[in-house]
Amino acid sequence: MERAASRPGPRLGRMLRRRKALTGGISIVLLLVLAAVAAPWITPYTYHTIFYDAILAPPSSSHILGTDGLGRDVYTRVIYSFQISLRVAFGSVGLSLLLGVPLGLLAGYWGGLVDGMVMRLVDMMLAFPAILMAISLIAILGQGLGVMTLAIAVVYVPILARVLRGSVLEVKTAAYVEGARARGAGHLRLMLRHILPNSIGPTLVQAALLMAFAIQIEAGLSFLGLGVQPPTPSLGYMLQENHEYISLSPWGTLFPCIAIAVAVLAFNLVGTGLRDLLDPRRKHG
Amino acid sequence: MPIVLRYILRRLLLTVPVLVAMSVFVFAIIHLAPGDPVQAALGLSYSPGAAAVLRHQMGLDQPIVQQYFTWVGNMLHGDMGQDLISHQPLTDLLSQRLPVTLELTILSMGLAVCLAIPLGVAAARKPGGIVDRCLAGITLLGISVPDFVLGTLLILLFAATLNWLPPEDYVPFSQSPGDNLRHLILPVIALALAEVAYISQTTRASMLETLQQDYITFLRAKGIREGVVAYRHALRNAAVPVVTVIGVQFGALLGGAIVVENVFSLPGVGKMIVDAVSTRNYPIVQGGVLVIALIFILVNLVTDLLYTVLNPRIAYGQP
Repeated sequence: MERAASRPGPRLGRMLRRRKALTGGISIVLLLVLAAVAAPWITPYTYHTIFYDAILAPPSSSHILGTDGLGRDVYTRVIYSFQISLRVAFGSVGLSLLLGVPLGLLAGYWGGLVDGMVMRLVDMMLAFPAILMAISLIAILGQGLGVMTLAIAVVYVPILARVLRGSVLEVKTAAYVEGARARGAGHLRLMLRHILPNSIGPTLVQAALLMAFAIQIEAGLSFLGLGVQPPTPSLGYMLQENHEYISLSPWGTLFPCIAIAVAVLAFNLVGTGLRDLLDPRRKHG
Repeated sequence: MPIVLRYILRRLLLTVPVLVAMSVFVFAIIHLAPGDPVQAALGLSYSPGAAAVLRHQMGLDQPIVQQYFTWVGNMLHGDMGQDLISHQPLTDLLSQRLPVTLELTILSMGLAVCLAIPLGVAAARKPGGIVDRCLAGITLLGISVPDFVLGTLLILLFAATLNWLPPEDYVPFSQSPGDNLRHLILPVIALALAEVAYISQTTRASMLETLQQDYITFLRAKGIREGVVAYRHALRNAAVPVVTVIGVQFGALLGGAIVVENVFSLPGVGKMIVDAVSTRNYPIVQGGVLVIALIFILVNLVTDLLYTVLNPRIAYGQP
């Protein structure tokens, strides 16, 4: 799928309008990013302000999503939590792309010994369920945003490398690659100018889906108390904090749940939308 | 068929380096973690003399490679070390907690498969029909709502609000089968939904492709009933990607079980590991991670071999 040469503007607009899942997903993600960045301006309080007279309060005009077990405003804490979730999602996937793409590209291109070694490494890393690997690394390195991002990235690198390698294997036998090589293109030029742009598609789809999963992992680790430390708010940790009050007041639990689900859904929509976009069997608009 | 046999043997052999690498990593956990295990073990009764004695006892004064082999040797003899705090042998702890985790994961996967395959088949037989559309909705929920979030919501609804089911704790099967299942219903459902989403989607996609094959049309022309066509003929050939996805998802299930056990306070291996990380009880972290990784590798191996049995052509194609 060679890149289109004409003006991207009107075609992009038409294309996006046809693909509701992708547009919807991207819109929600942008909304969340905006909310996270604008947090200090769109929240009425700080996330650690305690309202002693309104503990476990239901939604009201002064607390639109109610308050939690310590009397803090749920809405404010949810918005600030998005900062953590999004930073982990983008950070971990970004880092793993940085490491995984070269790895997969080299493995697929060179084949032979390099490929064998990379793939054995990938197999060994995939011997652990993602959360288990993350927990093990946190046990060694301690807690915090950086460690969590790193731990998740470590799990993702082999996944992305493997996907890219598969695509590279397919693309490198294509006619235009042969043609470029016949015209005297060197290895680096072949890899970067011809093979990579045409094989990166499925990897980007996987990356979007992994962002969705990263949000789940971050929430899970925070729920277990292994994520960011209080008072920094995190959606998973909010679930943990309010778990004991669940029969008294569901608000501190319900809204973080919905927030997590919305964020995960958004990235999943982007991923599946991208996948449909790149599927060569679909007719283009 | 010697080629298939050769493939199976190769696959078994390839598991060995994975096991070795995994064991090295697990062994490294205790040695890379900050803090001195001897200091942690002695606590307030620490003194240089006692420390030296304990260090020698624990074998920590030997070169690290030797320590690794000692550890592996012990492991193979059934000695997995002790809890740093209670000095309980790890094997005892694991024998108590592993059945809980296994029961949870097996029930969840069992439920998921029993629901997902018929739903996927039904959706494939009438694409766009009511089953298909309901399934699409369930799938959306299943992939978007993390299992522990669903678990929390289920507790909110069924335990806190309606009071139909218990929110936590565990009763061994031998003690009371009824109570055992009552306590497991919510966690099992929480874990199963995501699996139903993936497995049913794969079943549906695979069945759709298979049902378009010529031999299916031939069977229908022969007069064989739709149900028999779908289940006895089409499903067998559509099964391969489904088996793969079940195997892959089992790993995800194990990961999910770790968190869900904490939501519902189930005394399984997952909860054991997490509690141990918080209390810096590294031998337990080691043992727990090792066991779960072992199960995971085993399931992957079985899935790969099953895949070969269902589709022997894979033995010819693999490099």
